[in-house]
Amino acid sequence: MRRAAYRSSRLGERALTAFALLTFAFLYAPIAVLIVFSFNDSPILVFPLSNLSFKWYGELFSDGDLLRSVANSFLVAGGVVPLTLLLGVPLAFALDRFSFVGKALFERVMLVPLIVPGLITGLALLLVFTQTGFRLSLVSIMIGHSIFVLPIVVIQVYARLRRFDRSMEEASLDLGATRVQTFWRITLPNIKTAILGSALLGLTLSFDEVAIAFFLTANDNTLPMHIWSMLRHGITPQINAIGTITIVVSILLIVVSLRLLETKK
Amino acid sequence: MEPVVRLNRVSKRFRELEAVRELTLEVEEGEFLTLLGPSGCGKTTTLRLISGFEVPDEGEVVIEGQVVDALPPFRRNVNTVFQSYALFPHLTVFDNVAYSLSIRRRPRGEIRSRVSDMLERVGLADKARNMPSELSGGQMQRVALARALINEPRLLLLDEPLGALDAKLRRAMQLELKHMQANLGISFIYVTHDQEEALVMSDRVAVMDSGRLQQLGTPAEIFERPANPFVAEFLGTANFLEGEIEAAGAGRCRIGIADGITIEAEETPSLVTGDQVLATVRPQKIRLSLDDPGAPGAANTFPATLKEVIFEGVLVRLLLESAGGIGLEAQGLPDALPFAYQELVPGQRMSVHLPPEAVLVYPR
Amino acid sequence: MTSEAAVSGGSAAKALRRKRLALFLLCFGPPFLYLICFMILPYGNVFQYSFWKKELYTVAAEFNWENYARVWTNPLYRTVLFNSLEVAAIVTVCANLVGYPLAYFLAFVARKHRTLLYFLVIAPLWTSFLLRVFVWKLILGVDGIINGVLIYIGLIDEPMSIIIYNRFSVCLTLVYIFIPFVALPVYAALEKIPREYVEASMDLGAGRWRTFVRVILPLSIPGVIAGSIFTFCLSFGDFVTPTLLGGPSGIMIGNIIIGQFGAAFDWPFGSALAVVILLVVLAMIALAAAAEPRAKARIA
Ligand SMILES: Nc1ncnc2c1ncn2[C@@H]1O[C@H](COP(=O)(O)OP(=O)(O)OP(=O)(O)O)[C@@H](O)[C@H]1O
Ligand SMILES: [Mg+2]
Repeated sequence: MRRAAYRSSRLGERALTAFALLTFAFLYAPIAVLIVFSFNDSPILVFPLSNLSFKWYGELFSDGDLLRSVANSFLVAGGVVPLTLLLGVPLAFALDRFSFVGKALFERVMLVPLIVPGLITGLALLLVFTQTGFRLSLVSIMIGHSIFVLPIVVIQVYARLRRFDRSMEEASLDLGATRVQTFWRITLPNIKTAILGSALLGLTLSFDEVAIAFFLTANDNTLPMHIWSMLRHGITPQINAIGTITIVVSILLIVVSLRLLETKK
Repeated sequence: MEPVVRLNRVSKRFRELEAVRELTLEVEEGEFLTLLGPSGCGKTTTLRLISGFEVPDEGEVVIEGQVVDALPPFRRNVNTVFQSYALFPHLTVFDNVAYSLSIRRRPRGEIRSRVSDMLERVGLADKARNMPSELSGGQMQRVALARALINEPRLLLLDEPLGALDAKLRRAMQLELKHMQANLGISFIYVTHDQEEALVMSDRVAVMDSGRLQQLGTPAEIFERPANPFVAEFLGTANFLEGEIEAAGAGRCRIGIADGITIEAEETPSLVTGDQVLATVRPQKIRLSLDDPGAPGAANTFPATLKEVIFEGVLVRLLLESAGGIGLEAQGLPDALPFAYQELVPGQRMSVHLPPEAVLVYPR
Repeated sequence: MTSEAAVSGGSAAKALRRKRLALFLLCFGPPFLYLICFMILPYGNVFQYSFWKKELYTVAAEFNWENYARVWTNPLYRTVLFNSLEVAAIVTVCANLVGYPLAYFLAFVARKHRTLLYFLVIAPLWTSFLLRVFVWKLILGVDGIINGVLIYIGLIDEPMSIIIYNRFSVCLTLVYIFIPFVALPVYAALEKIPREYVEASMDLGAGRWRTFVRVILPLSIPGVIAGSIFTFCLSFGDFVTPTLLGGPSGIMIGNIIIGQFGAAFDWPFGSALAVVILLVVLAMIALAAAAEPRAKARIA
């Protein structure tokens, strides 16, 4: 309601709207291209388009390496999510409930992996793993991904905890619930959506990650690493089909996770 | 008989700040005790010491004869109505009220009947399936009350439970709470910073300031005989006159104020001639008349200039200034004044009389 | 009696403190140790490694500055380093030029479908980076859409090759990737501006443009800084985009690094290059930390 009071001028508003629409077109046209080409019959990517076809999708399901890489990606993400939740939720809890020396510094340092390019995180872990004789495997990729998923979980859960009215916990204790009962019955239900939302974000991010995995992959490729190697061997229309599926699935997951992370007013 | 709760010289510090200092207090079975004091005086901290959310630095808290300092909140047979209500937003009204029963694993049938009874009692039977966010302030307040009472605690703590309600609902709830307390026979410790509320509801009132107990007594006692100027001011005394005792004896004392104004009051045994004192009078007790005495005349009567007339509907407030620049406030019901307040003009001279029995004297 | 009471009160408080400390250690300890082991130590280790020396098939732990000297003296590496900085700067500026108006549109112009539009801005952040880079190959390539369309409508006869495998294609793709990175924090900052400020400014007779320059822009600076840091650091250290779309003139420091960890097998030198990126990142964080209070002070 208040918002209406400050408005750009008519002309300015139109110009901005036009600009924004162009920008949205710029953001989504490439994705549309990917999708459209995935249904194009022709084996080479040329304009104009030929017939509608699902054959590239069909081929995906007979590609053993590809299917294995998808399974690997699920394994990695399936490890990253519980790991980061197990570490991140208590950490967010500690940050919310306790003050300690260097807390502000810790909160900043914790976020560094979000700003540092993935290849640095990847090669840094690679160096440590090789020096300590830790064999590269899906576990090493999992650890690599956890380093940037962890701060995301902590940010989300920490923000939710800060909004959570602590007198509700006191009311629960007052009514005879122990601290453990209070956590399960009162605290957890109130931060549940933040936990689920960040878990889904972690899942999609881990699923799409390529730079860290690039350094930490041994023999088992994740899906993005498999795509990467396909790209090095030349473009095939299959990639468009994989791309379409991953992007559609990602967007579905994002819709769900944003719903969960949304602030309830 | 053993009091329901006893605080024994309890102190609580937050770093440098002494939130509660050497507080000693007892609450009897079935008593309604109010903690009254300005913001930040330590009322909430006192409640939290009893409910177990704070642990005293010194002293002990005894509930039903048992020292509870080592007991966490969930092991104390005391329940609290929180100022913000602290209803669980993810549970229905029914489940909120049922919470402590379900924690104690009571059979389902028992839970259902007890919660329904309780909701009936607070007039919310039809809201059982609603979420707290769908309730009005007054309804949330009742849910909080029902939730705290379902356990039948011996002692209920209420931290400004009516603070968020509008004036009208507040008055209605004051009486409702009071009646409910009397019917249940549960002891209440009630926190408020509203002196009127304290007087209306309580059996006894504990007035606090800066963590210290200032006075403990019945509403009539603390209103009529405030123990010190702080209590007097907090309970609505507006007139403070600095003076010196000129003579004392035979149950009376005479206090020189300024420029020949002297006031007689009942003698306070500890005060002797020459002591610096503060004399106080409630605005309602001041008698006014329109004839100008010219100079200080009969005992406790002196002239003053009318500065301002403030009409508040049920009440008229008159601000006066007497010799020596002493400001006074008088109040009266419009119809009970010996003159028509509409005809008063600022600047006019009046005669002020302070009845000796209404003057309370404190050392300065 | 009183002294006894004092003891009982004090000891209960002490027991409570001990319990709290235990809870804290339980919650904070494991993630802290985890971050030390897999984040702090590895990043620190890169520094150490960068001072070691590659020997034929091994790495010698002898302290030397040679790797850094090589970054600076070898014209190839120096060029690539400056090229990367330039690309990062261009991308940051362009992403702001597009992302800021977009965020402004979301905050002040869009009314009806704000939630949907907001979603459309951030959705790309969480979808496959690799695929969104790759798709530009389809668009800009010699057999790509742009060339295909232009030939189809007869504007050109032969496919153009100047739009791909150079710095232009790298910058374009990176801007595409990073627009949401800028728009999101800027929008968050604009959202937070109390409407009263803006109205007060208009009320005091400032025009729309002046209100924007004097009130809105300064208040949104923290968002611009946050978005710019992400964009600069992440585009500076990217290797996916220059690998897929770079060509010879679009090589960036990330390409060199993966080369050192691949074919060249010179990990210490690769680490030195990584340290350069880390230093740039840290410098950016420090710069932002210095700029932010100043931006705030200007407003207050
Ligand atoms: N956890 C705490 N840490 C530090 N200081 C505190 C804490 N709790 C209370 N205090 C301080 O102790 C003093 C007493 O606080 P308390 O909440 O008991 O006051 P109150 O009488 O309830 O006031 P109000 O009427 O405003 O609720 C205040 O000065 C408050 O700032
Ligand atoms: Mg309080």
